[in-house]
Amino acid sequence: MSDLSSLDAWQPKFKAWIENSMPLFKGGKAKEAFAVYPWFTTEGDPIAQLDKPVSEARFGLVTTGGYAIKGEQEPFVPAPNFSDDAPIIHSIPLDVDRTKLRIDHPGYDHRFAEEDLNVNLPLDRLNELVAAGEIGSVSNETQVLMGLAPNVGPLLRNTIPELVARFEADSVDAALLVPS
Amino acid sequence: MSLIARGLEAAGIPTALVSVMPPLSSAARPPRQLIRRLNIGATVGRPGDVEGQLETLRRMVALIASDAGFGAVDKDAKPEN
Repeated sequence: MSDLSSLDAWQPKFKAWIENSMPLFKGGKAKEAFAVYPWFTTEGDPIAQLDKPVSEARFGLVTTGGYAIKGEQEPFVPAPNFSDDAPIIHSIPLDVDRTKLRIDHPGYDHRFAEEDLNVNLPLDRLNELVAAGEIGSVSNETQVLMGLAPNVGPLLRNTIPELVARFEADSVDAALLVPS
Repeated sequence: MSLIARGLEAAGIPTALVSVMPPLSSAARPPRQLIRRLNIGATVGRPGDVEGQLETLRRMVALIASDAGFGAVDKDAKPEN
């Protein structure tokens, strides 16, 4: 059973939680609201196997760091997304002008990333692993999301298929997932 | 991110997730998980700690290469007191 097929059973619980929790969110009590969040129940054990040595494999990177390129990409909205709208996924090239990166994520202290991008967007480290021959190559585009996605619906319906499509288009063999 | 890991694996793309909050990440049962004793916002490693950052990535790659199967976990040992 895929997670998508579990979605119908979960959505009424999420809807009820939103209705009951809105007064808490409006009162600044998000922590109390999330204490009774209806966690999504996963079924099935999906697993894929790499069909080549890692030294020949192409790796993709997904981070929920909330990065956007100033002047080119729409900044993330720094708040949990409750809507059914498809979430933004920004592609950040390996050779991005780092002075143009901005972070719009309220869930973590940005000081670490401002000091060293590699703490949650490890572009230099991945390039070093490629140069050393430890991994084959790295996708030129890192996929950046906002975390804080309490509504699992758009994540399953939109985000995951879009990530799969982007990775398949770039012949990515395996993905490294870095939450923030 | 655990659900993303599951979705990618279901589509044939192996993954490794690094987590510094295992109670949260484990709830959604990611296929392969590296659990590190690091800070939120610096999940790969501390600023400027090149070796620590490389260690995280190498361990993630090793998880992907392993045949440990669904639910594989590589976890930092508890620090000695």
